[in-house]
Amino acid sequence: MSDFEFPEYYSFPPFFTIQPVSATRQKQLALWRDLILKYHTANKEKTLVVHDCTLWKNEGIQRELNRDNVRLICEDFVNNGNGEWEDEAKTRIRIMWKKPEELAGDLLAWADRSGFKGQVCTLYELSSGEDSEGASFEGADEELIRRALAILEERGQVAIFKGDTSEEDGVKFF
Amino acid sequence: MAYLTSHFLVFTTGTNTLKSVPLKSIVYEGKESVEAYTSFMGRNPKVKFHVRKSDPVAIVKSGQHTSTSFLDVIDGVIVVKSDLQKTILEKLTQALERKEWKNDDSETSKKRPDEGFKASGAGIGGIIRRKKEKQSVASKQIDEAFDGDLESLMRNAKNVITLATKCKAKLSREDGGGEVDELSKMLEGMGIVGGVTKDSAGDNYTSQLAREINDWLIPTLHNKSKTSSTPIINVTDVYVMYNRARGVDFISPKDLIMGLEHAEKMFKGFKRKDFMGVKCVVGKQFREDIVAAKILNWVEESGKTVDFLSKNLGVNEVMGKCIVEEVEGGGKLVRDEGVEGTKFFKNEFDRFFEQAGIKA
Repeated sequence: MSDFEFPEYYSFPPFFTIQPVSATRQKQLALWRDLILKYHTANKEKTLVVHDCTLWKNEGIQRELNRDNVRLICEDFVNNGNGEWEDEAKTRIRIMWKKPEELAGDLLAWADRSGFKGQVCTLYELSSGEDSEGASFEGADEELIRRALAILEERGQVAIFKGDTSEEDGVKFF
Repeated sequence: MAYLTSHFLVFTTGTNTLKSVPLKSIVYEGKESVEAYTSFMGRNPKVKFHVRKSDPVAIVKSGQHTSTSFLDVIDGVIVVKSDLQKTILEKLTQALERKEWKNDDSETSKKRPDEGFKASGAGIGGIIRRKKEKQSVASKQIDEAFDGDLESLMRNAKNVITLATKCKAKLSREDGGGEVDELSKMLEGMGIVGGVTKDSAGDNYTSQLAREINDWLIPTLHNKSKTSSTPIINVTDVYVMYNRARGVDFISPKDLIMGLEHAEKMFKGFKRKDFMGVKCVVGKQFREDIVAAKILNWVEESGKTVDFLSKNLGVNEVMGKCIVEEVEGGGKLVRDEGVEGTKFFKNEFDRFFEQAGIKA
């Protein structure tokens, strides 16, 4: 567990009460989404287990979200495109630290910069290769990259080739 | 030692015997009939009066000279303590003025002459009839007593009422200064004399009632704002307070609401406001931004409950909750539902949102 530095708002008691005033609530929910993303990214956690997340309770100020509010925040998180339900029972969320569309854009930009346009590279190279060092998608979840690539494929900006192993699947940027 | 009752001035003499002078035997033709004076150099303060010799009752000779014996009176003098001289003079004068011995005669004259036994007076019917007659005599006496007292009371009250009405008019026009505050306090304490009723006002009931309500409400709201509390009163409280001021002839809630509507339109001295369903009247002194500022000041340091905020604003809890929720609706407050109840904080979410650099 890395030393995640909790933001100031995490110690603000009203943060744990879902605000009745709409405009205020919008900002509050945005902060919750931000917190969930930052926390899971820092800890390299890809999954959020709804009933077992340490974020819902802050012992220090004796506040915690009730069941309904946890559900509300999770639904909002998923609806905003920051995560996906892993199961039908909605007990686990796959964290998408970047939205697939965003990642797609990043991939294209990278392909342009690093001269991979018109060339084929493997999925592995994309996520952990030398060339992808420093890129925003470095170390990214494979699933996420696939999602992003799927979008690009739909737009006709890449072509995907099946390899022997999934890691060897190839991507050609046009 | 001397004792003064409503009917007698009683003395104990040196030999411990009781002697009395009936007050009706003391000559009284006005305040000058009883004198207070002292001997040389303020010594031996005395109170002097004249007693009619001819009354067939025991008269005490004070031991003084009877130089006035060519008149039909003798001097009665009592030596008093100097600091009590004034009081004794006053009390004796009062007792002489009241002439309470006169009531004895009227009471005895009202006794029914004995009519002898009648058959209709026998049995339970007779008992009931006699009781009823006694009751009607008693209530008649009470009415007469009241009329007498009320008349003089109303006469004196009339002057006060005229003065009070003038003050109220002045108050409605001006707003400020210590004089106005004094006036308001006095007027609120006085209540309402002779409340407007349908009987008294007839066709003008609506406008007269509106005027009366207005004249009472303006000083009340003014006082409330001066005690550094919020000049808001909810209509239910207005109803109670106003009827209490009237004392008798309460008006109905419907009439109060109608009166408030008209008073607001006619005189524009206050506003009717609906705070999230709670109807209330609001004084001119009320400023929403000032109230919001007060609240924000209190929550700056730490979250506060509705109870705390209501008390400090000087409004009841229902009112307080409404005001707080209005300020919350404006985005200035946020709530925290903890174990100890609901507390309100300054809304910091905007600041946090900016700090977090969240993209929309």
